[in-house]
Amino acid sequence: MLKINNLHASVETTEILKGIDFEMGPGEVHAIMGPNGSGKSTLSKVLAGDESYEVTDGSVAFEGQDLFEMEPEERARAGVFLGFQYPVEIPGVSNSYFLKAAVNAAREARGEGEIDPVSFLKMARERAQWVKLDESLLNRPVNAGFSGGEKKRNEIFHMAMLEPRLCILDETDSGLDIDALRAVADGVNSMRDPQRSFLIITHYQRLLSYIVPDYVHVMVNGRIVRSGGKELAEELERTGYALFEDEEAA
Amino acid sequence: MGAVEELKSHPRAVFDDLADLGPAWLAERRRAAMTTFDAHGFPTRRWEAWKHIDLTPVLRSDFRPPQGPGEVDDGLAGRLDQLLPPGDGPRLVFVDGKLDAARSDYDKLPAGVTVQPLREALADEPAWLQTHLAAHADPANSPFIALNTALMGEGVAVQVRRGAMVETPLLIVCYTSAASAGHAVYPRVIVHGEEASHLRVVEYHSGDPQAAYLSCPVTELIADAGAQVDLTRISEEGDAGCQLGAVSGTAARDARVGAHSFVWGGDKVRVDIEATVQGDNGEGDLTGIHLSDGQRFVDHHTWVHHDAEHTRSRQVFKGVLDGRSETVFDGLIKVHPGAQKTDAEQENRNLILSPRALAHSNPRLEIFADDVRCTHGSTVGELDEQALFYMRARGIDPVVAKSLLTYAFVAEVLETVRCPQAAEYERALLRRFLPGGEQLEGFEA
Repeated sequence: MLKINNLHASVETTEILKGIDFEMGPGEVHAIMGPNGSGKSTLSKVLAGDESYEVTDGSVAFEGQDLFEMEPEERARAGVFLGFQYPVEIPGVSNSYFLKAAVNAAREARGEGEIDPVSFLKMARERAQWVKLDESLLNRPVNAGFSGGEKKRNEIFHMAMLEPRLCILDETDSGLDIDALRAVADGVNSMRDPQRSFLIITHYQRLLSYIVPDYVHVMVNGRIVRSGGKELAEELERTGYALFEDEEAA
Repeated sequence: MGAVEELKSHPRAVFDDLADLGPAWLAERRRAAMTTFDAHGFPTRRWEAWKHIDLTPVLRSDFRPPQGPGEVDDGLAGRLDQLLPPGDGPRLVFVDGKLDAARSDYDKLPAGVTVQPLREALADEPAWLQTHLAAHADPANSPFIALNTALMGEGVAVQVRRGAMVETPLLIVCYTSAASAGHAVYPRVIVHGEEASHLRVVEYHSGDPQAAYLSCPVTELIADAGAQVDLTRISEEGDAGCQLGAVSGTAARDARVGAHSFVWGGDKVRVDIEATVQGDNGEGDLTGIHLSDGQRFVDHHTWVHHDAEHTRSRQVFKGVLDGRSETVFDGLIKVHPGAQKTDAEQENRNLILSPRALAHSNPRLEIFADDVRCTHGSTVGELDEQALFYMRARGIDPVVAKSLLTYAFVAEVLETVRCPQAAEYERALLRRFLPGGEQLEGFEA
């Protein structure tokens, strides 16, 4: 599914990612945990194609294709989805229009025709329920005036509509109350599939009590310093990141 | 002294040749306007309000209007039907400053409205016309208001009777054809809403796609106590055409005067909009959109005067610039002494799509009362990179994403346009302006 090899990336002249290596197979759920400033969000943005970051070394293959040869929209159409840490407000553009354009762009890339409006609406109503997203938000401008929880639910709702192969969730849990957290987790869990992989980026262990990962990677200062199973997340919750930061400094 | 000086005298020669200046009161105003023009001549770039515009092509004009009306382009009829479907309301069409009876239709008017060609109205000489015509648009404000007042050609006089609520809009068209190439035309419109009346007017300014003409239209809008007069003004001039136009609105007590100006097209287009709120609890509402591409120059100048208590005004102007185009927004809020509890806002936002485009934004506040609320904001910026990336990361084509964000940037103003048909027309123009814009349908939240 995804193969990251010696990935280095910088913003302006500061190196943020200092050699990342890991692989994800189909159907797997990987969590990346780390303290603030460790480069977790940078990794997610580099994978999605944010041009404010420069890839200085290494490679990423997504289903055998070189990800860095693809524009952000090509990655999205091929099935890479990034759930943003800070979903962007787009005043004036309706959420359902935006989503329909996104769904149709992916369908077109697969050689399928446009989705008919009735099916789209039916699907949108069903899947909004997965994350308990108020249906009225479909006709509002994208994220504009949404609460923090509504924005994150909307991200997962977009993911549910786009049916991506690789779902990257960047700190989707941050700022969520327990109801929203559960709604987001339910949305993700209802999408788990042997052909679909998840990369969950988080600072805290709490989301991982609802979405149980197969693998946990600890990222500190632009490197993965430890990988393990789900028990690693629990260990981190007890000990914090200090231990790993010390190891990294040593 | 040279060629320019020689041309400066040219409007005077046109004026001196005029056989009929109308009724004595009007003749006096026209002579005064000509004298005002003579005193200063054409603006130069040393004049603060004219420093950004290069008037060289305009000053080459023969300021004498063309002989006869010329041909309109093939698309005009269709465009007018989009603006106001046939039968939906009265329309008056002027071609090269002359009333085109065949294209006009104002026999059946809504109850309470009088619409007359200016020439006929002047022959009848109603009292309101003497009170208001050339009494609001001030020749001292602009040499081109002075020229229009002195040299005014044909036009329209509209009167809405007390309490008449007119639902159907009135369409007034000023078309300048190839016959006007090298010439100037001076259409004049006056709209008077008596007490507690409502009227919406759509003005459409267009012209030959290639001819280098000059149009200097002036419109006066007068809203008596409790009346509402709204103008939606669309300028879609030919590529080589120039328009130096003006709108002057006055709102009495509890009245509202609204002017919305949309500009895309022309070589140089400047629209001066003045609103004077002179009665307590009156309101002035000015909005504008300008789209510019190629090497076009577009300018919206506004003057909003608060001259009574509890008055309100709103100015929202948005510009989208591409190519090597240049635009100006220069807007004044002036709160006169005693105009307490004024509530005035002004906003000018410019979106630059090309590194070679240039937007000037100059908000001006002059406040001579102490218990007022005045806000203003002015920005010149590019598309939000984060929003673009967000859209691309969902699979949206970057060209479509840019157009969508641009459309949304403008849409806020379109939502407040009072004539739905005109707003729809503007949306269509906006879609044509944007790359891939034809795909943009139905996205508005």
